[in-house]
Amino acid sequence: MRHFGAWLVVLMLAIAVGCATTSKEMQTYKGLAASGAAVDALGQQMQQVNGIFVVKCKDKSLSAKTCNDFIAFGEKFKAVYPATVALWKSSRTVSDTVLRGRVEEMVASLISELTTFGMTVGLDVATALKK
Amino acid sequence: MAIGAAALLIPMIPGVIQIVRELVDIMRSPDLTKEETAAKLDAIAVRLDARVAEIETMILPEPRVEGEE
Repeated sequence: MRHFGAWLVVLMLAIAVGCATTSKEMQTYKGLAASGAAVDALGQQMQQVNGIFVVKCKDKSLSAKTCNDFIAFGEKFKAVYPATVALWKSSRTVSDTVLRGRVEEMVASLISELTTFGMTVGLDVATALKK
Repeated sequence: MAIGAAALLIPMIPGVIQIVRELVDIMRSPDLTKEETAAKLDAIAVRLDARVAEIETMILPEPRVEGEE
């Protein structure tokens, strides 16, 4: 669960970066850098959550349904993540704030689903500790 | 305020410390030249390419048969 606090930090900083700039050009740069870092952090978080799921699905401390739901999400993530990165690169090339907004929407959507799975792991860990 | 909250959370999130620090640096940095800006964005792009490669080769859990708990 604690890993997901990271998203609050990253998003708060991304917003703050956008507000704290001195010129339009620098605002664009800082917005791009912040969204790029957020995309990177999203990938890192997915790797961490996946690592937990691999172990807990193997030792069957998670239900089959939870594991299969995560696998379905993981396959979707593996398809969407490269597209998100490609979109970020495009938004950089053309300095398009609309494209950058789309990247942030995609990241937010993936974060939402990933957070749900992370919380599931946290709850299951708590249950296992009570046994 | 956001920085204060981030500072409190940073010790709890080892995997993201570097990224948060980088964002703080970006926030505090004075205006850069176009060349410096391009170099920083290039570095992020390289890191994202590496991350994509890792995600694409990431091994997901083995599927399970529901009912065989």
